[in-house]
Amino acid sequence: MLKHLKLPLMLMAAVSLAGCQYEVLAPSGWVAVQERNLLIISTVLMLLIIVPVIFMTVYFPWKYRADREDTSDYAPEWAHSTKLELIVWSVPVVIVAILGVFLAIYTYRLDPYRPLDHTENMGEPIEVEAVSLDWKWLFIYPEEGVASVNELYIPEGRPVNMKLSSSTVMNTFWVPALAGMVYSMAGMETQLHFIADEQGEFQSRSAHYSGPGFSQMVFKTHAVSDDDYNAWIEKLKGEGAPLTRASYLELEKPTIAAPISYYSSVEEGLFDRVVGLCVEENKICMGEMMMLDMHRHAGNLEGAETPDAAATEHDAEANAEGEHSEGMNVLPKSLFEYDKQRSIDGHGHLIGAPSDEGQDDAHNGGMEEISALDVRRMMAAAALSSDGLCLPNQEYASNGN
Amino acid sequence: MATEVAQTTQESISPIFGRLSLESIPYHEPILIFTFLGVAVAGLIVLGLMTYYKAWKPLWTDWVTTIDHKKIGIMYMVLGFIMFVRGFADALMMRLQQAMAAGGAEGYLPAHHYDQVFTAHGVIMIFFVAMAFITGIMNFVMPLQIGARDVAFPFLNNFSFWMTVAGALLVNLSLFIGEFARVGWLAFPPLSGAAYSTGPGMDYYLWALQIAGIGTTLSGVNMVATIFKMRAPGMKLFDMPIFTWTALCTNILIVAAFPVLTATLTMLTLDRYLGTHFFTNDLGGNPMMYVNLIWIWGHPEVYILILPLFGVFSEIVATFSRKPLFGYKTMVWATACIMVLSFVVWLHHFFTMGSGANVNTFFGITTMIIAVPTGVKIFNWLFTMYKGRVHFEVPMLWVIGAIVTFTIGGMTGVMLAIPPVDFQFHNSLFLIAHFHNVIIGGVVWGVYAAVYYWWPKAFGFKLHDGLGKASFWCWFVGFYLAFMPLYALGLIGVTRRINSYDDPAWQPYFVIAAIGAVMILFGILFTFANFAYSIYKRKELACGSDPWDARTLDWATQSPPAKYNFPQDLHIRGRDEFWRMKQEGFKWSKNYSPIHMPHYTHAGFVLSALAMIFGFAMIWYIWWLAVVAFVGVVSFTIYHTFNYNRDYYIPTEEIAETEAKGATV
Amino acid sequence: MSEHSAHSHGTMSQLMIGFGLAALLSIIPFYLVMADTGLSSTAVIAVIMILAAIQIIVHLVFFLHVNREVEGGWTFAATIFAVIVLVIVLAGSIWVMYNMNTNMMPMPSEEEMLEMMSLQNQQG
Repeated sequence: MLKHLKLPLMLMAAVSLAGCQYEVLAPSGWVAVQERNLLIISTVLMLLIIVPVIFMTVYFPWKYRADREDTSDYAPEWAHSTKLELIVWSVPVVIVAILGVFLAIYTYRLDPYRPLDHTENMGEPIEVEAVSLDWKWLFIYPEEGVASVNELYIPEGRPVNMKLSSSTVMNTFWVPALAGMVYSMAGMETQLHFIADEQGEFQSRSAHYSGPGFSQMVFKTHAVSDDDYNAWIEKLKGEGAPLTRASYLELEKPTIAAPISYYSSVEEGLFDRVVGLCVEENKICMGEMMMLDMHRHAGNLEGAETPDAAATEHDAEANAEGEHSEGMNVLPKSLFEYDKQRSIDGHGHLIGAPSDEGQDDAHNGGMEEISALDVRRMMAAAALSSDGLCLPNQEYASNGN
Repeated sequence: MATEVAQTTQESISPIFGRLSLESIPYHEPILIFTFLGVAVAGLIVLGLMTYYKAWKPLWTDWVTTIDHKKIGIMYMVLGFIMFVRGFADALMMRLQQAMAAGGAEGYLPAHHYDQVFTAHGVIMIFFVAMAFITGIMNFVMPLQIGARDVAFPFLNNFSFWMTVAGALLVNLSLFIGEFARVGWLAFPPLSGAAYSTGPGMDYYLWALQIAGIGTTLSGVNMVATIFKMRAPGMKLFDMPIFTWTALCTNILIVAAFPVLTATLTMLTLDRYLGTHFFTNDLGGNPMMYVNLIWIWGHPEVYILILPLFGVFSEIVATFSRKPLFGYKTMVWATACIMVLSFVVWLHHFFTMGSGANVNTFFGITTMIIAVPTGVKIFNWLFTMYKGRVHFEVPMLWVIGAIVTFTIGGMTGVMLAIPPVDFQFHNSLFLIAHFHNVIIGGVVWGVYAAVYYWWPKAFGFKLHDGLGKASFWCWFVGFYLAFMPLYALGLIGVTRRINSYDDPAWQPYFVIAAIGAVMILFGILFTFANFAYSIYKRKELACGSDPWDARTLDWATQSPPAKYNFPQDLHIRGRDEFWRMKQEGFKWSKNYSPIHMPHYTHAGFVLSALAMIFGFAMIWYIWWLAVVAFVGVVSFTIYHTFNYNRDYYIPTEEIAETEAKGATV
Repeated sequence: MSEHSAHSHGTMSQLMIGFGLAALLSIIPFYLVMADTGLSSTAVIAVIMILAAIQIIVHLVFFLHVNREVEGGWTFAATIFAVIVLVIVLAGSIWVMYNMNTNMMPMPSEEEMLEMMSLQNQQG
């Protein structure tokens, strides 16, 4: 058991030599500071029980070892004591109750969806929209109209109201020095509110495994003065390319260890399109689809009232028959097109996209073999007679896919 | 330097071979070639030895077809130890990679392979090591403890075992044919969905777990029925040994939780095979629902893993303190509390998903509440030792080490139960250190304690003391070396499942962790060496039926127990009946009557083999083979129901002979 | 064997009543889905779920003969346990998912939706 003690000392030596930053214990932002304080409170309260328990676990067997000289205290029938039971149940209950109060207070205070309001001295908040892609982060600054990839600049002392989404699979946004993490998921919008209390450069990353490029999905968060922040925004306006729906689709293609890049302008409503999974042309947004569903199933009464909805429905049915209509297309050309465009094999290569660049759509020029997805499509068409939008049967013509 | 399998971007499906092709064999990957050679050589040696010692027929008649719970229990343990080797090899590979890949270095393991390794490590350790071990221990010990001759459904027991083996074999096949999933052990969509996990890996995962899951669920049904219906006459529920109580609660948990896993994996399978939209990003799917459902299973699962070992600790502490367990009734109620509460805590695994403060607070508080009965159990073990006469046999060493380690792990668990703290620690190495702390400290060392404790009962000779102690100390030191640095790394802000990192300052921690892993390797090797050496020296290490002077009925049998367990019906007057029997100088009477026993059968093995073929065919889209195998399973089952020759009676002469011989080593 | 009397055996009439109830409880949902009843999909789903829950009870009572006497009351206790677990899982999941969806998927209001649709009309 003595070896057990050498370990912490060895570790501390290693730590001090290595000069590591224990960012969770010495954070630089209010949210992380609160979380750290809670960690310490809970550790101390737990130690009240843990230390005596570990001591007794080692002490009792030794003290009552069979080959001790004086075994007169051997009590082979003693197996019950109401008093002890009461203590043993109630002391943990009390500690858990105290911890529970702290838990409730801090959980409400530090809810990631809750805007920061802990002090009057904060500056104006900034809005950031973060999108996790394969395998990089896109940060859109909607108020400034710029965007960056794999670099996050925030002004010190001003709250950051971040909205997050994903273009593919689940990720989490984590800057341990500033705040805890929150998931970013496709088709959904999560929120995180945090603030940097001092200037600095903080390691940041995704903390939810998302594929082959996950280990390289790191970036730096720079908390700088207001002037430096504005200067950086200006730099982006000068240097970057425009972030349009088309260039976003380019960005979406899987890359590993993407370099930092800048966008000087952001197409309006792009983030909402990302959340609604409708950045592509002719793709219905999720919110719209849900609305249409609700209206359609309300006995067609409400649906008939809004002319746009009626037109949409007509277009949808027309589209189902394979015709094209003047109005917008509400349906993708085939049910799997969205998924298929994002199929990624284990090396980070887009399945179905040609390996050489230059084509925006994901058709594989003329491959004759039946793909697994085609098989699934055929099986699905056979098994299901109506799709999720309750429309008549569709033909899944394989148009050269 | 990546030498991955050349992946076809469009899979071609042939009518005969499905999507299986020569490309599926990873002959580009040196690590796998090397592994295959090792496995092939070891396999050939084993096959050769078996042929030389003419062991094939006894293997079939005595082991493969057995319905004897003791033999099935031993086979589960063998399966567990074999899969442990593979799971631990995965762990060593990860530790080595992370120790090497600092500051821009790539290490030796490309991401494509590393991602399979950590997925396989989790899947194997949970489903085919830990579950196999606890099922094995419960199988062997529980019927003996309640004075029964076997479990309620002996054939089902055999079938459950072989289904688990079928699942394990599928996972092992993925090493050499195709690849395994690259999604983490719980396979969250959308990453595990059809769009992002193309290739056979994810399908291997699904079918292996579904097949093994059938085995586990049936095992749960079996044991609940056994405990409720087959106790020896006079044994009321509150007379049962504490291990049997924990086995009961564990199996109730299995029966209640595993159907959720089956349903959830089925929905994911439907998504992948038929294009449904349960868990896709678009078109009505909701990946958060998968996370929710899988953790509704996942949290009871970890209590399934630990509760039997709590029972083991209780038995061992009581035996080696020469005292009855302190607070038996409280222990029972605490176990029942844990069982019920384990169903209302699951959200603490995804506090960071953003469900809001109401939900997070509720589940955080329930998670902390569940720590209370667990703490009570620990206190009761301590009070059992208090004023006892404690013997430091090897099982007791394991238990004391386990209590210390599990307590620390429990503490970090309560810390993680607080949502804002979890916001920093979720998916970090702090979390990894926590659950390894409780799983290794509680489950693995509990299993080792159980093995060292019940081995003499199972085989008639003890395990060697010195090697056992060496194994324990290597494990103990190795564990702390391997996982304490991970707590530190979590506090630094390092996340899990990374195969390389930029900051070279992290490397010393990973190196220490790798050294710890190597120490653990020695711990494992010492126990394997102990098995081999003790078998070799079994005549010197022979012991009688009650080497530990224990308290429960399992020690009232011979060592190893006769196939019928007890020669006569028992009449139980209260708790710790065997202790009372010993005080009164009990002896079995010589009035024997024929004992009703079930026949051995090959049906479980055949059905599981067909199930495995079905799984393989579904993975590779070999539809004709899937249909054939499925039809085979159904027809063989129907055929089996017409087998009326299920049982026989052991004649009294044979019983007399077995009893007179006592046990031989 | 003495175990035999521990199981309850229903009467023929019980089986017939059970069969009739099960059939009725199945026909109603199919009718609701196949015919154009003008009910909202939410209402239809709710009816189906309620009828399914009732049918589970019908099966338990009329086919499996679960009552409070069988097996010294243990069968009933086990059934209650199963129901409790189901309720926890269902209620818990609904509560959790409702909170998640509320936080994650803001439903656009009427004006936002019309604006989105006109935007799409312009940009095609």
